[in-house]
Amino acid sequence: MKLTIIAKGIYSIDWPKIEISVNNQVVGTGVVNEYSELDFEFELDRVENQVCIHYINKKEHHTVQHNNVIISDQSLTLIGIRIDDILLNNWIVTEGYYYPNYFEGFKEQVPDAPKKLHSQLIWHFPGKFELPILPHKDTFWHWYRNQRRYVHAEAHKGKDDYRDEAYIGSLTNHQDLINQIKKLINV
Amino acid sequence: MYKNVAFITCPSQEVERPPAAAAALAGVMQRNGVDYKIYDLNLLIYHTLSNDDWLQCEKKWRVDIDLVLPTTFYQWLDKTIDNIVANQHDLICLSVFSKFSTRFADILIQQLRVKTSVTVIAGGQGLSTPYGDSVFGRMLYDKKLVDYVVSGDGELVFDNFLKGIKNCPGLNWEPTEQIADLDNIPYPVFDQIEPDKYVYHRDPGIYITASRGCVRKCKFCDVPHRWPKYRYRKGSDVADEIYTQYQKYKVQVIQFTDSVINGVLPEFENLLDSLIEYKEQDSNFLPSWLSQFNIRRQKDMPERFYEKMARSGASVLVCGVEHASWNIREAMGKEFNNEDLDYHIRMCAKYGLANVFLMFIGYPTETLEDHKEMLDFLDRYQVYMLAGTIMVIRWGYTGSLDHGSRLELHQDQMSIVPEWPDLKLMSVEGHNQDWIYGRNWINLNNPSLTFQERIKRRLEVQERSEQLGYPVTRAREELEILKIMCDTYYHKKMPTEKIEELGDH
Repeated sequence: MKLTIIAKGIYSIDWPKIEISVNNQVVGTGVVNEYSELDFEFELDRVENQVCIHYINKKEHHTVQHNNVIISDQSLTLIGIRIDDILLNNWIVTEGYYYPNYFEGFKEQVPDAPKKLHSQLIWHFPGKFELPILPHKDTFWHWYRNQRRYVHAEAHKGKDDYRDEAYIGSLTNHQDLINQIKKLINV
Repeated sequence: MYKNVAFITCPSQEVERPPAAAAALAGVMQRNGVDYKIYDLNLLIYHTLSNDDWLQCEKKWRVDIDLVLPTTFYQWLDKTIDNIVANQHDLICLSVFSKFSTRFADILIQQLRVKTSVTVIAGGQGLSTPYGDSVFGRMLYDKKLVDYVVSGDGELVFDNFLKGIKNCPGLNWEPTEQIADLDNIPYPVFDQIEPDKYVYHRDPGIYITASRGCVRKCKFCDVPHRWPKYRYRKGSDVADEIYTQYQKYKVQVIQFTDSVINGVLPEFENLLDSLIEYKEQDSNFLPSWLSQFNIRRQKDMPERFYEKMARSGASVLVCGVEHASWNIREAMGKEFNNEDLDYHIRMCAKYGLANVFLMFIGYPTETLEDHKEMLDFLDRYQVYMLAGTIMVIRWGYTGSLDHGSRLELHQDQMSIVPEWPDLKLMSVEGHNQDWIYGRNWINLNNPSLTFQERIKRRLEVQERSEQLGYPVTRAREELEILKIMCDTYYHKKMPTEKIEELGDH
């Protein structure tokens, strides 16, 4: 399978660098420029698979200060993800968690900084971003479709089903009606 | 001349957004200094009746004429008509949007006429729905239920009408005249039909018109009959309108009324660029637009178009794919081959654009091989359906020779003849004519494609798409209408005196 990470970076000393791991195995690294689409080959060969994006190169010196004013700061923004050249809905990234590795200086200033952040797509610290657990490749797109429809249903609770069905289409089986028509036309 | 106008919108239409015709003609009335009140009965009935009663009405308007309407409907209608009459309007405009609005319009106008003799003018596509031996609008006019009937571009005819010009094109069966300059018509006005009062899915939205007509002349389609010339607006002007309406009504969702948004590619790109520019200037402006869309040849639609569409806020493209077989599409007058279609879906998948595929089963030249290709196509494209690139698929009612289409007009040249030359249908209710119209045919060059075979293939694609998990929009409704058609053809045909002879249409 092909994983495409769409991201943009802000330069300071150098560009952000990312590493992709699947089930703790590194599958590749890449440098993120102003706008990058980085491709990685990977497999979802377990029943449950953990895909992570690691922001690996940022150090304290990438935050450049002059007279206590930050004049440049490297950062990374995750824009989207494609699998096999198909752009996934945004919830696939907003459902993920970012685990920042805070710098020592920051930890002293903000000792209660959260260990993980939900839906955080702009990263100022190195760390890892965990995507939701993904299923085996054979069931991936069916799983994705079910999730997609679930997200829609959650967002539109309270709407009448009839109108909603016209909007997103029905998965209902209509074999009863099909059989009645077949009978009418003698086939 | 008229100073106090009532504008009535008839169900059934979407309640997702304010009705396009009411907003467009409100602009015309405002320009003419006319006081008006819009009665969006489509929305009103949705909010007033219980869900079950409303569904019962919807089923009557859209499918089964024989259904009995709930008592609450008549109570509501009575009160509504009394309210309209009490406001002492000097003109009533009746907007009959589509064939699904005719059954309500029929009941409304008959009851309205009992209570008032005020002048009534009717317009909308629903008026050209086959009815009896003519069309619905003709029936209303001949029975003197309405005084005036508008055909063609309503803005132009209504503008003339309000100015007192009664012998203008498009009024009372005078030949129509297309609006020459769409940039000249006023912006739609939503002051009385505020978008946030509607039952929207994500955000409030409005309809906007960027063009009328189509650049293609597909043989099954009646759009070239309705708008012989493709008229389009400057893309930057359309973007200006979208941004103006956003500022005025806080709407970010735009549904284009166009038959094709990308008819003229430079102007389409101008629209995309202008929308992107507005977004860059105003970070709160996040438009999301949907439209009918013409799948083009790959060489004409380079990737940058898809990238810009995504950036400009394109969300859903409604595409007349019609058939998986290039032979069929070519016969129809489509220009994109299978490679172009593959390219289109790949680009949409890459940039996150959803598609509604409109399909046509049983075109006169469709062979069994074409049909097999259609079934295989569903397997081949399944991943795009699962991914949401194909959001829904709509199968339609099988091949019909629609009024005004080239298929209907040129059937002799295509060796299309009635399948049952002596077929007479017993007492087909006037409102069911549309389901029956244009379906008694057979192509002598493809004689195995009988009515029965067309329905059989239609059912097969339904079964296959359900097996593969394709979301099908209005599936039950379409199947119920197919059932009415089949029941009529197979069980109500009899040589009797009364009756409609399909070949005469």
